[in-house]
Amino acid sequence: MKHQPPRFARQLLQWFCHAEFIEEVEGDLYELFQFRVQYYGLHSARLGYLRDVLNSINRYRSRPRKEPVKRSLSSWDGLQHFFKIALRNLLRSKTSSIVNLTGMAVSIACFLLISIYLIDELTFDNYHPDAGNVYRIGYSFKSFDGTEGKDSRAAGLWSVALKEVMPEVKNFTRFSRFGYPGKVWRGNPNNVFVEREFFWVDSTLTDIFSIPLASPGNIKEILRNPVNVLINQSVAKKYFGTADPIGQSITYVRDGLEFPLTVAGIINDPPTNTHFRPDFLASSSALNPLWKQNGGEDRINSWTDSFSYSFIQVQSGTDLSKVSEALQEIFNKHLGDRASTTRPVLILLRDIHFSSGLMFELDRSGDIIHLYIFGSVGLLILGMASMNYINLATARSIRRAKEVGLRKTLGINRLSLIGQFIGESLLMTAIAFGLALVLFVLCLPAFNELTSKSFDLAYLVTAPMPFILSLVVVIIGILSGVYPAFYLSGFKPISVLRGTFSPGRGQEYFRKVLVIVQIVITVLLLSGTYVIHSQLEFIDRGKLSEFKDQIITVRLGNISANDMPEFIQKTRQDPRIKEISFGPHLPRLDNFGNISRSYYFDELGISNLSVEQFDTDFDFPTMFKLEFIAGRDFSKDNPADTAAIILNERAVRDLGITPANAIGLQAEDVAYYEQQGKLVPVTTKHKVIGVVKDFNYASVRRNIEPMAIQGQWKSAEMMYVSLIGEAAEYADVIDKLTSTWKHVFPAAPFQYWFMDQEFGRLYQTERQMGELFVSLAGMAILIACLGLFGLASFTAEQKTREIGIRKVLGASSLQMLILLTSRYVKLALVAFVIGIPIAFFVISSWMETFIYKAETGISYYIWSCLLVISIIVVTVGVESLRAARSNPSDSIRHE
Amino acid sequence: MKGTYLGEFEEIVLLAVGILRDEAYGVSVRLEIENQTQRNVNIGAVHTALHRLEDKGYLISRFGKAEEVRGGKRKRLFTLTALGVKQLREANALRKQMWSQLPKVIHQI
Repeated sequence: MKHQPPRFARQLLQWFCHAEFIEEVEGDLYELFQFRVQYYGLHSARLGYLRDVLNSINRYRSRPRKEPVKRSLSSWDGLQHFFKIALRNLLRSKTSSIVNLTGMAVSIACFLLISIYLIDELTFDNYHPDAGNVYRIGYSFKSFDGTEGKDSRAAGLWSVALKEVMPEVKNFTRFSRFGYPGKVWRGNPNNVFVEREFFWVDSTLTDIFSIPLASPGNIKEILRNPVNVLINQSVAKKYFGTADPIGQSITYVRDGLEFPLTVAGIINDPPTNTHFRPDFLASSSALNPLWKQNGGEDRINSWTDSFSYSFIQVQSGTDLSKVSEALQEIFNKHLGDRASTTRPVLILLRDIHFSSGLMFELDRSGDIIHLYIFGSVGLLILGMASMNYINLATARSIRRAKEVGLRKTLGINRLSLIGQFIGESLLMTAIAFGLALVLFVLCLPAFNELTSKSFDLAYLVTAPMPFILSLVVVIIGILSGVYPAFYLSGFKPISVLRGTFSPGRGQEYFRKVLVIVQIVITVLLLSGTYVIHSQLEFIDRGKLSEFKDQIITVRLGNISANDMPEFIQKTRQDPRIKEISFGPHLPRLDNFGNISRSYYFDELGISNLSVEQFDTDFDFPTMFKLEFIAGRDFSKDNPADTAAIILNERAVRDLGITPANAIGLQAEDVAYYEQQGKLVPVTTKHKVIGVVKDFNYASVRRNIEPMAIQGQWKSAEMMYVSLIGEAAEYADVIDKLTSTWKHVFPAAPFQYWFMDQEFGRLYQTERQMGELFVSLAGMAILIACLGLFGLASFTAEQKTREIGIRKVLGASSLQMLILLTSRYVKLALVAFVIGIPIAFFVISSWMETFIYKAETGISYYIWSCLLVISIIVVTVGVESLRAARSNPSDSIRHE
Repeated sequence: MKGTYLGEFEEIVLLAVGILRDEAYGVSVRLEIENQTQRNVNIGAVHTALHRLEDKGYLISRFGKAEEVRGGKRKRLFTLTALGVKQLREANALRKQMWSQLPKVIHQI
């Protein structure tokens, strides 16, 4: 046997030497090696071989000498060819193309809607110049029972003083909704509009806020004159129609004083992403006559009267703790006793939207968790559509196998095949994107309704949307295309063309995994939908909301209580009016003032039980059908009941006694009233006569606190009128009520709303989010169904012959149906095992944010799973049934 | 034009291919050069030169038969092209032309 050159050197040679030269070089070296073995011996021959190999390491030989002759078409022809093939493939497999296009279009449209929503939420108040350096001054305080509260407003002089002591504070401005809600009339004093967004501002407003003027002029100049008012475009339309509003006059009414104001400018309607959305802007100094009429002081320029929203603009890089310290210093100097419990709360203008727990916020705050939820649902939907594409593309791979084989034989390299397939998915995504834009336009009005925003098409072209859109199309195109591209381009031409090709198990497993993932997502969204729905139902079933669409709430304002019996007596004559009662503003929203009192129970040795005190009349418990668990209701036969109270369960529990023992207890209520700038305690004695079951009088996100119903309605905020009869008659009843009111209280406006409107406001976020979630989940489920449908129809098509033969051998259609659907049902079962724990975890953490929640038993998940199974059986079954019922002679003959 | 220039080693390789006629391949070319010039020649250098000359169009190559002595590998046999011959002629002519212009003295040394 001949000696062989060192293996390592030979491998080295083979590794670096290009295939074009390897045969020649290896042969030559081998010949030399044998020659050397013969003449110089094995050892030197081996050394010589190694030296020769090393000498041959030469860049020149590791590359082919010439570029291979280019056989590709010119780029234009290539492109034309690509489009032709891509379109032919789209048209050839109509079912899967339709599935893909619909799924993609729907998911991209959803994604578009979600992303404009998210961007809008995340850019709240971002458009004001220097918004990153603007802070709102608020304060935190300790109330008498030691609980801490935060107020989003400040006293007017704080920011003024702060600017004086801190050079870093460049600008400040203050505004208030003093006298909220404002009453405005034009022309006829009886035609009063109630305006919630009437702001009294400083002329420095535009130093910090960007408020574009739609009419000529300068806001600063206009606001210097206290008789001027600025209104926005919608208000201008509401008051003046098409007439030119400039120079017109409107009158603001407050406490019997009239403020004639001249419209001096029109401001643009505020964008959706701001918490400050003024309808009217007037100078704070216009209020001076009101404040000073009884020798009072200028309330805006006060140290303690904290009702203005104050904003400061600081130099960038200013240490916030220094600002806080300076404010604390100001508090210490001017707030007297309160200074020790008052702390400044500075919030960045941009963060106001997502800050929570402050009283008197101008706008309901956003919930970042919802944004996360929607963002993830949007991505999940996109992912589902992408998975559909991958599934169908790999399932149909056998159809394209011959094409790949032929192309490869003709010398197309793998890279350009990959390019071709990714290109096809990009093309598909681009077409879907076009459809998505159409869907977007169609859905936009409904979406605006759902989210109470006012998006228009211009949002699509404002930065950063075009960037995000193109990025999404490219990423989705590539993500969907990449696996099919690598898989398809990897076919061996020889086995494909010889006809021995069969798709490997690997991609089938991959497809199964994708189907499982889709079902997991579907289960997750379905159970989410289910839980959200039941939570919303639960909210609706709350005690107060039981008759919410039959109860009218009327704001009492400062009407004279002495005239009330006359009103009641007149009103009661109408048989459609069931009951009239008085009480606090219910349901209680977060931004309402405090109704807490501190109660002393001497007999129990308990002092300082903080109780929410409802000032109501005797009819209140009856009207809201409160359930007594001990004691009795107020009784008209017992005039002493005006000093009685009814506690709720929670209060009794906090006292550490049983409801029955609570009856007859004495409680002392200590309320503080401001007299000559000092808080003076006033003590009232109550006797407990009853205990009612706990009921949610505020959002279910809040705890039920100890509560006491007092049969004294003199300081009640609201009158409740419950109606009987058909909803269609309500308008007429309300007309009657209004005229009676006008007759009895000519000076007071009749402001009313149905209680469900207030509940609507209370749960606006939950409801909107719930509805949005449900629609998105619906879309996701639709896309998953589409994918399963496409896959099932393909399987059925593949199995035509199998089905035919089985039927010839005596199988029934039902057996065929089971054969075709069982694999998907199996996948679904696997998906349930994975999906339910995930769904359980996600949903429980969402439900954590509610304190009172609907029951969420395992039945939710079981129902969701059953629903998913039936969806699968229906989608897969419809397609399979067609295949199963086909005449076997057709399907077998077609071969 | 770049590439028409013929280096000394390249000229020798070209000449050796010419001398070997139909039997010119890496090993034989190397042997021929070693015999003629008495200097040690590296096979890698020979390959490089041969391929470069082929790129320039002075040589043309074809595969010979697989041989057992070569471990079953084929030879790449090189032949001069007309352009190669012309290039050799030109190199020779240039050399002669310059020789003829040398002063007589040199001849006497």
